[in-house]
Amino acid sequence: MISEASLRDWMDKLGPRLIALSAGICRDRHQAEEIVQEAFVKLWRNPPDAGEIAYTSWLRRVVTNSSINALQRTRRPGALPEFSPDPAMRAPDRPEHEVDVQEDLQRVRAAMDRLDAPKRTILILRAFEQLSYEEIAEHLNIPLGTVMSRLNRARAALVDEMKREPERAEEAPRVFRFERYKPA
Amino acid sequence: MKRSMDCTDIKVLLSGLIDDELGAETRHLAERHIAECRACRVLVDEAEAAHQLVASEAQATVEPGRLPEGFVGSVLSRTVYDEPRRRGQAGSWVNWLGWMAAAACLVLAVAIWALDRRPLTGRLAPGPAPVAKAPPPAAPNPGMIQTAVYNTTGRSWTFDGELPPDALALPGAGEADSHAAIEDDAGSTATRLAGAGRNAADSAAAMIPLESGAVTEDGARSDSPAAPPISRRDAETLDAAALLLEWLLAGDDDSFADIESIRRVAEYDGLPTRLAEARDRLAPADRPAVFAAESILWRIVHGPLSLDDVRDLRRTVSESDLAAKLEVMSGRRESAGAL
Repeated sequence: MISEASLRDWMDKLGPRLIALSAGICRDRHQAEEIVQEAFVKLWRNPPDAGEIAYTSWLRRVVTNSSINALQRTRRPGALPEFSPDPAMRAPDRPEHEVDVQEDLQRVRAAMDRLDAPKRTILILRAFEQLSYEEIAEHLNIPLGTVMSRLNRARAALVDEMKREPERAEEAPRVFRFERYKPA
Repeated sequence: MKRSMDCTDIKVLLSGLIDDELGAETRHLAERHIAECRACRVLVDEAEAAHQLVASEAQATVEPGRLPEGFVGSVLSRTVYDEPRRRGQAGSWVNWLGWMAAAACLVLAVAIWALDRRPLTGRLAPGPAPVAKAPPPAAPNPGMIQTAVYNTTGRSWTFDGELPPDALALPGAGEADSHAAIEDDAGSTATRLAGAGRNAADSAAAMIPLESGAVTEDGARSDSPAAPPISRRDAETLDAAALLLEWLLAGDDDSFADIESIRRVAEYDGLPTRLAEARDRLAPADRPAVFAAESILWRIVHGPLSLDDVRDLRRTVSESDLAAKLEVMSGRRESAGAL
């Protein structure tokens, strides 16, 4: 049985990240919160036999599967919140950079919305959760080779979607400048 | 001897390059090509930028390190704070079940006692049937029934009155038709053939159904000899094998680094065994290519291999266009269910 203090600690430690993971897959922030809450309830009622060492991967797997299931159930457009500037991407000496980054985030969000669930999931697991190929293979129960080929196709599809002309008139029709993110 | 890479190699190795999963030699060759090829440089830059933006986009959906308001309270109210109530409910259920069981035992004991009190002759010889007045069981229309008598010998009820004509009608008439309709829908499978745009021999070897409805979940064979279904697991196995063979083609002739990486992946996935299993389920026309891939990967996994052996394997894969054949066979199937 998990104590209240321990449950609180795990929620503080993993909750925000799990919500971001779920929202990245199911594209609905409120649904993501419900999914993560449910995952913690499951953890409390039936914790993994391996103990606390397995909590992180167990929760991540439950949240991933529930998010995919939720997506297949509802298939409605995402309701994600407005972006708050990511400090990691700020460039203090270039104020215009932040505006550009906001536009790019909007664009990648629209592109992610258009990808199918397997591509979106594997991109999130690799880029956001920073799982290794072996961890992704184990997490999604697919071969390692499939991880590599699916990542290749997912990245190519994402770039194609980001290059697409915006569908809404209010979106600025500009060329996406990928080179901005090239590491120094 | 392969000392350089082309744009196709870069596309195959793109994710490995970005995620730093390539051997040193392969990475060196890839970087040398990228330095000279503007198109590939753009390709890699785009993929790297997309990778970074995906992480930022996901992070931007939450305030870092802070849970939404009411989140903790909601979870605690369904777990820690709910436990006493859940235990209480469970306790009351146990109590209730206990009382029910005791009552049932009592009724049963009284019934047995009452039966045993009847005279022996009455139970063995057919005489005038004793009758008892009792309320009828659930009657469809109580207004039409005056009395009901239970015959303890014949174990049947006699009604003094008439039952309404629809009292014995079975509920749910017509459901059989709807089930039949559902089965018809599930039974029909649309298929399309892969291999368009390739040469005739490849297309013939790649007559694989691609629609999700044609792909069985458990690898069962189809009744149709023209387009046997391919299970999701087999499709993934073929896909993974195709990627490793492409990797083999793009690898360096003078180093075992790529072979070691391929060996690691093939061994981790158990690909030779999985290919052998998949081969048994595939159409006869597809089996030679799968057998060839299985043999090549088995040799890589189990070794030993010299550099000459590696070149021979690479030549075999290249001349038979093996990777492309497996790729077409796998159907490149990818759907939400694939997860």
